[in-house]
Amino acid sequence: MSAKKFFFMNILLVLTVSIIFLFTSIAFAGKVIKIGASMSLTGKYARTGVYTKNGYELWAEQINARGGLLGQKVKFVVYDDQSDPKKAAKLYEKLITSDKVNLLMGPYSSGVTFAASTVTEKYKFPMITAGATSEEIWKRGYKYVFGTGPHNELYYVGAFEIAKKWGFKTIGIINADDLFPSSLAKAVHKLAKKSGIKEIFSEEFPKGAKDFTTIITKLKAKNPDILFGGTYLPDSVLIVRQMREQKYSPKMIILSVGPSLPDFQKSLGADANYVMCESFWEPAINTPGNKEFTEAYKKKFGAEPEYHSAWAYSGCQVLEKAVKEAGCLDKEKIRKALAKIEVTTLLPGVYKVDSTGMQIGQISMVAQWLDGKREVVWPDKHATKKAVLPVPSWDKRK
Amino acid sequence: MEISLSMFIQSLVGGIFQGSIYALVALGLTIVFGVMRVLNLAHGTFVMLGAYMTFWAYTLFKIDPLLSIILVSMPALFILGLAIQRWLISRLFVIAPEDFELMSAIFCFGLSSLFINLAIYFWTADFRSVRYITDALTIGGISFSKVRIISFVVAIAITSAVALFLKKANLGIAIRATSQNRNSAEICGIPTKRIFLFVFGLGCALAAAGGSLLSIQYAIYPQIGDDYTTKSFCIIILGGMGSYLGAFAGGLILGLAEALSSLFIGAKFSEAVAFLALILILLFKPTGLFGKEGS
Repeated sequence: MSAKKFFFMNILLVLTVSIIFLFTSIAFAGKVIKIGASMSLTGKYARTGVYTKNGYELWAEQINARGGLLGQKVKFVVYDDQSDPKKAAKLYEKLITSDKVNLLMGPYSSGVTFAASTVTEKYKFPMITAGATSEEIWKRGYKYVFGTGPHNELYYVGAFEIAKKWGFKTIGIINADDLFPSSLAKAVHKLAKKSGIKEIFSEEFPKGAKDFTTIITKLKAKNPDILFGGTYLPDSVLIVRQMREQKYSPKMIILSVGPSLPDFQKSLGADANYVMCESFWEPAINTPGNKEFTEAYKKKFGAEPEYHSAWAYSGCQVLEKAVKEAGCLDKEKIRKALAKIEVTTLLPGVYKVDSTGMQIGQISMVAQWLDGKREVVWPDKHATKKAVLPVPSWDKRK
Repeated sequence: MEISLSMFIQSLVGGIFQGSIYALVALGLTIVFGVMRVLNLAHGTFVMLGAYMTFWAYTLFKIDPLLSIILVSMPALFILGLAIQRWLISRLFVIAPEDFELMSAIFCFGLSSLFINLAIYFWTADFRSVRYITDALTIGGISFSKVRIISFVVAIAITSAVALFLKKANLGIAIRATSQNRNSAEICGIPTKRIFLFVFGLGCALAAAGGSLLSIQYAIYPQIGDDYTTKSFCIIILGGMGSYLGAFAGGLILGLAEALSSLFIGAKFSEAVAFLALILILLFKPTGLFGKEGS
């Protein structure tokens, strides 16, 4: 064999081998189910966005370990939407048209989901949301967006059941002037009316307000039995601090969002006690697989899971069930499956949607901070403690 | 609803406490603008950095938040300010002397975005807070939060110290001279470049002091300063751009206006008050309450 011929043989060999590699890798890649999502990894929802992504990732890892979905491995394609609805809409367009993902999961927050779902609807691509609850998303007659968490109007059903049991008669409602807190305030307003509890004070405050002296002074003068605050974490902390300063103590205190985070207690210490809030999920509740989820999460991420992660994981459980029900990756079949299946997830209720795709089977529990711990006080099925009411006045606390 | 006298006084107290921090932060902004003609859109970001300095000093080294204002947050931000002026803003002055005001404003805007995102990256978007004194005094049915009394005293002390310094100290006089007329100051032998260095550092340090006081009252997060940038601008326009007395009075006025409008009209509108005041001032007295004509 001449040197020249030997050289060409070598090149041929290298080429053949690389072509084989190339083809096998394409073939291999074809066996992966790609699930697309945009997520708030930076920007104002960065923290909760990351919790949501963690939930997705944990589920993907576990389903791959169990042999995958329809016998194929799954892989998440996640882009950072910077908590920006416009950016999220563009990213879903990219996921569908250029990445050609097989399935979609939702982004975080109602606002971002609202924008992203306009794109997924256009492509008739079913999307399961695991971070959005505003009913506005499902009031547009869309067919391809499915909710997995209890919507706003279900947040405080339990709280009012408790209030009625204790015979509380009046309520004061305050809320930040932002989409989510004001829609919660509206829902509470409706619930109060239905329960025969009289609303004697209501006021909005600017989002990010740094002084509640005046509002609390007014509340103190009106003195309603129940205080409801549509708040985020910083407002909720400051409201409780200033309530203590002015020694204002209504019989029942319900604040949104803030008290559902451990930082609420870290910032307030014992002053956090007796405050109530909604709860989608707790590590202690007795839903199938919940204990295993909590342990696996702690092992993988080195921290206690927040409800966002459990919710995201539950969203993926719904996706898994729907794909299995459809038996393939056909979008119409998956949509039909999502519209009719009922799925038990980590969350306390059952996944079940109405004809618009809005969630109707989930419930929101009620939690109360007691002795530095967040305890479930409603419904009885999941309760870890009995609600302590009326809230003792500040000078009678230990 | 009926408003009793004690409700009115309680609101006044809240407004003055809040206003003292506004005044402190706005003072830093007005000095920088008065002397350097830099529209520091990153001012609120320095408030945020100051707040985090105090938080970390307390969390990692157990340094008392009040002590950390003097020991940690003000010095750290002073040095950061020096560095930004020395290596970045002073270059802008060389590159674009004509459009300096616009260029520096755009630059500061970019800087603010950079710092906020770095803060999110390194410290996460978590809300954090320093658990400091949380009880209150009650005098004649009016409650005075202890932490707010302390903040008020500290804010007034720092503001007065700076005012005294500008009035009496040689460096202070040189700063005022530079702010009145840069060229004449230079002819008189004042090293205006060094004055600029010091002034930007001082501006950042005052913002930081405001941030530190914020961190003991409120949960902090990387975007917390944004509000302070806009409010500080309203205050210094209200008081007169570059006027030190104006910043102080403007701060207190804004605090009181917010408190009283939330008492009489509703908290929802308290934020609008700042901007309403801004528009009225710009329409009827564009130099501000304490601004000099033609400045």
